[in-house]
Amino acid sequence: MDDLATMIAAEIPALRRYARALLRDAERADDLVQDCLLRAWSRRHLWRQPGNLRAWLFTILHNLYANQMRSLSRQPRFAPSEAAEHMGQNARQGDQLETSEVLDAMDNLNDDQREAILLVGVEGLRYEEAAAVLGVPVGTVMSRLSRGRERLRELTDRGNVPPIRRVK
Amino acid sequence: MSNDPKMVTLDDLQAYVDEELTPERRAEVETHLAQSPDDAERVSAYRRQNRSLRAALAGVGNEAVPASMLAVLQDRPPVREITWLPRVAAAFLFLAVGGALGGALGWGYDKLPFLDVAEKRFLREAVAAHQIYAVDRRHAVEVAAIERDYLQTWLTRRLGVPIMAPDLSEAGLNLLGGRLISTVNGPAALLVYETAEGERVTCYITAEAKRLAPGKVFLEDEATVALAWPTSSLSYAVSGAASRERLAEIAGVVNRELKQLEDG
Repeated sequence: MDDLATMIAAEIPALRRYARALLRDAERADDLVQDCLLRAWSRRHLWRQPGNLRAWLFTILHNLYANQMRSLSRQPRFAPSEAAEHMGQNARQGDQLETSEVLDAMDNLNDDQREAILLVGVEGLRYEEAAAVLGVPVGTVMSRLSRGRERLRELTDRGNVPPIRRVK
Repeated sequence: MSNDPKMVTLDDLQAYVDEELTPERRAEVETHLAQSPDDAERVSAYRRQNRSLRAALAGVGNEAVPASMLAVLQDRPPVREITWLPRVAAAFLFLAVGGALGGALGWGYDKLPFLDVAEKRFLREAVAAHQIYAVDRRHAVEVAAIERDYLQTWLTRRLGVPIMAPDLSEAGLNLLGGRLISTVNGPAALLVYETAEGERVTCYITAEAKRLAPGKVFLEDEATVALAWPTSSLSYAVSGAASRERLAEIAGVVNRELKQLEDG
């Protein structure tokens, strides 16, 4: 592998973590990362050093995710039925994430808020980087963080995470 | 944000947690937090959120990176895929699928393209349909070739785009009939052809031309070869237990026939 390939490879764990948190489905998340890598690699001439490689990769991932959500919104959605819950089955097959109250709570936030919280709070991007990835002003990132974190606080700190999970 | 330096906003609290404040502003916020238990609790709640999220997701970051992802960065395909047309010729395919095709066929393992997720899904569907139905001696098709006109009308109505069953006798193939296939993306058509020796080749068709980049072949396994390409309005794949060269020859005849049907 050449230098750029090594540098991109080093970012794969972060890309997978982000995709997994957004989709909560290991297989679909890895498909998204695979597409992201394909696109990044085929357009690597567009990335110029000394650029922020991580932010560039997250931008590609974000755009692919946004496209996918747009086309999915045109398809019918299925919510896990209560019956499945009662039978003790995991209604979301392929969901290999640890059950976590905070991740369940995240499912009740909108995509904008979840992406802002994940990029800044988990991946450690600076506000300016997150703004570039999401294609919005820094102020918008901050207000998404404020609203998202307040909503999370409402949900988790008072122990009232709604049982219904978002289905994507 | 307010100009009143004493006024601490929700945005300030985010920036405090995320360490985005100037040292001066940071000191002001800290003074404020010392006097406001509510906001102090808010800040620790935000920090707890970050910690819980990182902990819940830590496992993902520690998983071994799939070989298919690293392969992308090494220009090595994760599955055995080869170009069956040089790029220029592939672009040409839309316009002139006639006699040029056979000559333009260039096999090469050197320029290996990668299939994106949509392309893989299409090819897997094509191969799965072939493997399930082509082997079925008695029930391979729903509508037999004797009702060719009805078959074409029916599939056209269900897929919403003109579906023709090309005459592949030039490639030694006779139409056995066709059937409708269900996919998550909508209906697909499967046309089943047979040689005089009883070997079967299938054409798998969906009304989503934009799902495919032109000129790609996909080898699902040792038993079945599938070759896919887009026409002006369709995604097309031919599958069979045949060599790549044989599949390419059949694809060439399919294209020539489709072109003639379009022109006619």
